[in-house]
Amino acid sequence: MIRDVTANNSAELKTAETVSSIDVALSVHGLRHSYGGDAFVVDGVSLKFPVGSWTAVMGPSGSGKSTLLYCMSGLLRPSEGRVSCSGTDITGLSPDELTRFRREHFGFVFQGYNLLPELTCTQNVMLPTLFGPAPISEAEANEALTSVGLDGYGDRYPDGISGGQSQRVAIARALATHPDVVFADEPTGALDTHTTRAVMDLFGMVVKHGQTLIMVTHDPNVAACADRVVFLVDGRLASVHGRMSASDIALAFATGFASPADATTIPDDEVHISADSHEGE
Amino acid sequence: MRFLSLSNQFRHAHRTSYRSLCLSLLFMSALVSTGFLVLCSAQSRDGAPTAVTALQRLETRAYYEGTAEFMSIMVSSCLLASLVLTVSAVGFLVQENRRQYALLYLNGGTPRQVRLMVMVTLGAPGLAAISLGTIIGCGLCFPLAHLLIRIGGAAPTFRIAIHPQGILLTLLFMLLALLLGILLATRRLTHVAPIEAVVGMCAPSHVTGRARIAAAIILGTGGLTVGFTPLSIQAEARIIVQTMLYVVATALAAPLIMPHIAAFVTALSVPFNRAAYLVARQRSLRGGQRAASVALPVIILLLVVCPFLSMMDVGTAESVATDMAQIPSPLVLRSTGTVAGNTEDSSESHYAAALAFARNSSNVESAGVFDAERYAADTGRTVRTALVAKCDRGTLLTNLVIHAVTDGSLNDLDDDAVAVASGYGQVGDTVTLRGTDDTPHTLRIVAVFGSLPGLQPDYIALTDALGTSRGSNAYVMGYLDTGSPLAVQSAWNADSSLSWAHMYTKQEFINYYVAYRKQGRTGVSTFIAGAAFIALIALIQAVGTAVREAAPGDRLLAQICAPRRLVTAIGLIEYTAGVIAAALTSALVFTLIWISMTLITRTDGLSLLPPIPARVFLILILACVAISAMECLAAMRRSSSRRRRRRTSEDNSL
Repeated sequence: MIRDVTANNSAELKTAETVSSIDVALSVHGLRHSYGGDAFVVDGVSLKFPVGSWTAVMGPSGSGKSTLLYCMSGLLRPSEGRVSCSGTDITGLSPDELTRFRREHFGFVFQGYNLLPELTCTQNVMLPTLFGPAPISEAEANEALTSVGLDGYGDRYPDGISGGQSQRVAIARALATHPDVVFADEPTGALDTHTTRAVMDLFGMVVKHGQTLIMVTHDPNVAACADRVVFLVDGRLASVHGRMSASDIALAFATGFASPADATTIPDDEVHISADSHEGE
Repeated sequence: MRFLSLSNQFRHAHRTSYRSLCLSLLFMSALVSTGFLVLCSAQSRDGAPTAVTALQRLETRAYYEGTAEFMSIMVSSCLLASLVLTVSAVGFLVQENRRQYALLYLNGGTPRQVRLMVMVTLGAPGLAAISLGTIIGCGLCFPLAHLLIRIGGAAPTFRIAIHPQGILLTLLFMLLALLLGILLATRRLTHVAPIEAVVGMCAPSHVTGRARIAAAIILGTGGLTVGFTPLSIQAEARIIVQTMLYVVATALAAPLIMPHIAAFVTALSVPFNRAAYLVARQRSLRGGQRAASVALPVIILLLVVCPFLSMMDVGTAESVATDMAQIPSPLVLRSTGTVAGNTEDSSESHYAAALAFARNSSNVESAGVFDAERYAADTGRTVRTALVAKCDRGTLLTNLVIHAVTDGSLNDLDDDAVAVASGYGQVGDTVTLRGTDDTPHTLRIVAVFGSLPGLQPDYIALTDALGTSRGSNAYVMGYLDTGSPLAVQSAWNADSSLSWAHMYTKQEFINYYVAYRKQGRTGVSTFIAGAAFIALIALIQAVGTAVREAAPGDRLLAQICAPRRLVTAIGLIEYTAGVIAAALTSALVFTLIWISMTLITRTDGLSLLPPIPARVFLILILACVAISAMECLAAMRRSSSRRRRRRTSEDNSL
């Protein structure tokens, strides 16, 4: 199994270096991160994320999924490696530059929603833009809320709405700045199946609008909505797949992340991305 | 800049924290403005110092200038305490909202923008609280001055005036303290990483720790040097500088040493509940800033109050011992003030009775009896406090002159003339004396002499000319020269007709006076009480903040395994351990101060040991423990009721 992983990892690296025929929203190269000591939580990951793609990052607990997401999004500075977005290596930016870059290019959706309890839903949606040069109006923020099905919730506070509604506010906030890449860390971890379905529909809309979505999840049903599934084991890339069914993903988990028969490791330029692929999500 | 529009909502959402910060700022501004205004009034022509009573002025050498200096020191102490507490109060508030600031970073706020937001959020209510506190302080000055005069803490001529410079100094000082607090707190915010909003991690600060320890060691060594090395600096100044250095050193080292001492103290709770001990101990060790925030007000409180009390007693003993050494008699007579009827008539009859006793007693070789009162003398330049002794001519000539007058004669003293201490004026000059009724009396100096026993240093001896302007409080003092003091003393004290005065041996009088002085230091006590009050407010604020910070952990404990009583017990153990840890540290530091105080007074030629205010220490500790426990319970109750309200509203929305 480990031999396969190594082979896949180097194949992926080669792919990342050679493919340039597609528009890449985000690319990571040789990413390694350690929280101190010799053990690397993320160990030599190289990936490219095409514009308008939806990637699910999966793996067992402790495989480094969230750390990878934080490193890619600039929340953690990686120990080694590069993260490029829109032609900028964000690992070389100063904290202020990184904050501005994150504000303009990235959106975030977390399991814990991370809404500011002091602010209303509308203000939470407006917040990232308020720090920037072109703040959106309340009407625009309310419009964003309406687009996620929260019409009339603008004046409510986060502690007065349900978890699913909070997550929708977080999605509306992530989309308010029209970011190039949306990072989602276990976005449905605290939601019931019905609300999970609704959130997936919203993510489908995001991708349909040409934004890139990178999502960490444990849930095969959620990962099955993505264009591409990336498996991570012990901080290393185990395999990269195209669209998979929930049962295949579950099977991959059961077999220790060996590639299932009907899913092959595919390079980035073969990831099929079309507006139709997310119709009816 | 539109993000600044959200600052109102941050204030509203955290109104409890902001309210307690504003209250602290308000009280501190009121104390500082009162201090500045009293100091300004004491230093101007309009007033006199408030630190000692008229009687104390007579009985010891309480210099006008010396008292003003002491007042300056007290005001400086209040300023230092206010500065430290303002900075720490702002620090607590910012620390409490650390996750919110991490969320702002996560949402695209740059460190500069977040700092600006903190400044705006804190600045507006802080400014309002400081302004209001200053106004309250101005208003409080008048009843305070009236109270001090009424209870004898200030001279009858003492007048408070609202000096603009006092108000400006208060505003300037408090605004600078607030600005410093905000700058230091927001500087710490630059260490906050946006990811803390997601995973709650906290950046280690080894560099800050090392810098703190280094600074604390340097300041502590400075305190040791000042206290234990023979220096030519005045004793009181050395002790105050030493105390202040120790306070700042302890405050700096608190986040690093307090958790360990608090963890050690929590071991006392093992017999009651091992689980509570384990959790409280770990919390103390992990939450260094929280343990320090609870301990800091207690340390400031104890290290301001206790060394000052010891020092005041040393100063009093030193002062009275010096004065008593000049009295050429082993016995001192002091009126008890229990005589009914007209004081003036009583005084005259007292002289006669005392002199009759002296004449009839075979043991008494000579005697002098006089009464005295304080007047203000207008020398044309400034109002100087003068001690005015009124004697019958016979006593004056036969006793005081013999023992005291060295460079002048009182033979020419008539009803319109005065004799003054050297340095007060020259023979032929005129001085205007104002009595307690503020009536001016212009008198001519006819004699100048160096010293008068028991009445040091500036005084005017005068005849009966001003007798009619004396107030009702005429305190009679005297001394008798005898070879058998104990026999004379027992004879006097046994005679019921002489009960208007009590006779002491010199040592007894010193002891009496030290005890008396303890009751009478109203002015200084007011400032100490003010500083103590602020420290207690800061303690309440620190405990409240700590409880709010620990609330998520408490909820987790309650969800996992702990019954409500255990969670409450953990809080109580954690915060009372912090207070006890602070008390232990303060006791250690006080021991150093006490040893140095003993050495310093020995160097000055006094063999007395500085008293240890053990009772005050214990009372303060118990008060701090009780206050922190009550605030802990109240804050926990507030937190749980807020949580219940939230849950109800969430259920309703679902």
